[in-house]
Amino acid sequence: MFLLQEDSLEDIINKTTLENPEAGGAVSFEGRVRNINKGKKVTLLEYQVYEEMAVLEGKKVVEEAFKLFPIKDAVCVHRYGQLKIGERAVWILVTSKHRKEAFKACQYIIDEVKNRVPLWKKEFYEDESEAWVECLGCKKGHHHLSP
Amino acid sequence: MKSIKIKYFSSLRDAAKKDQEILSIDSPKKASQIFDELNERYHFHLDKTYVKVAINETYRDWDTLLDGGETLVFIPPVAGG
Repeated sequence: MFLLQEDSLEDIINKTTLENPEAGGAVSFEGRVRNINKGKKVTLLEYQVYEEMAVLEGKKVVEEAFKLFPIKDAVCVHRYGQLKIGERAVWILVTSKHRKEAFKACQYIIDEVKNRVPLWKKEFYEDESEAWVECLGCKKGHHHLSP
Repeated sequence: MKSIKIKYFSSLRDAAKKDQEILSIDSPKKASQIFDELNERYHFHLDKTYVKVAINETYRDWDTLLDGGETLVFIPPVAGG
C-alpha cells in the first residue's frame, strides 16, 4: 500500500500495525525533516507532488518489494505540502517471517521512492532564501545512502 | 491540430510561471523536441540530462512520439523521502 497525505503521519503510524501471526519481524523507517542541509539552516520544507503519477509509481515500488522479497505486508506513506523541522515526511512499515527480508524490503522501498516517485522538495532557509533540492547525482546512478 | 497537456513541477514550474498549458501540434513530435522548444521559450535552468519524461503518468524515453491527447510532464530530479 502506498499513500500520499497532506496531514501529519501520527495517526496512521499509530493505527497501522500490520498484525500477522506469521510475521516475526517488523521493520519501520521514518524520514524526518532535518534542520540543516549542506551547511544551511533549514526552517521549513515544502513538498510538491505530481499526485496522479506519484500514487501509481509508489504502488509499483511497493509491489516490486513484494516480488523481490518474501515479505508479509508493506505500507509506505509520504506527505506533501508544508512540513516543519522534525516532522515525519515519509513512513514505511514492512513485516516478514524473519527480520532480514523486512530490512531489505524497507531499504528497497525508501531507495526507490527517493529515486522515482515524483515529489519535489523546496527548502526555506533561515536567511529567508529558498531552493528546490535537486539531487543531480541521482540521474548519474548515485543513490542516496542516508535519509 | 491536436493538443498535448503539459504539466510543470518544481523548478520548471517556476521557470514557466504556470502549472500547466495546452500545446497544439500539427504533426507527431518527440518528447525531446517539445522539451527543446519549451526550453527556448522558458529558459529552464536544468539540462535535459537531469530531466526524465512522463507520458500519461508513466516514465518514457525522450524519443517517444506524441501525436495528441497525451499528458506530458518533464520530471526534474525528484526529492522525496
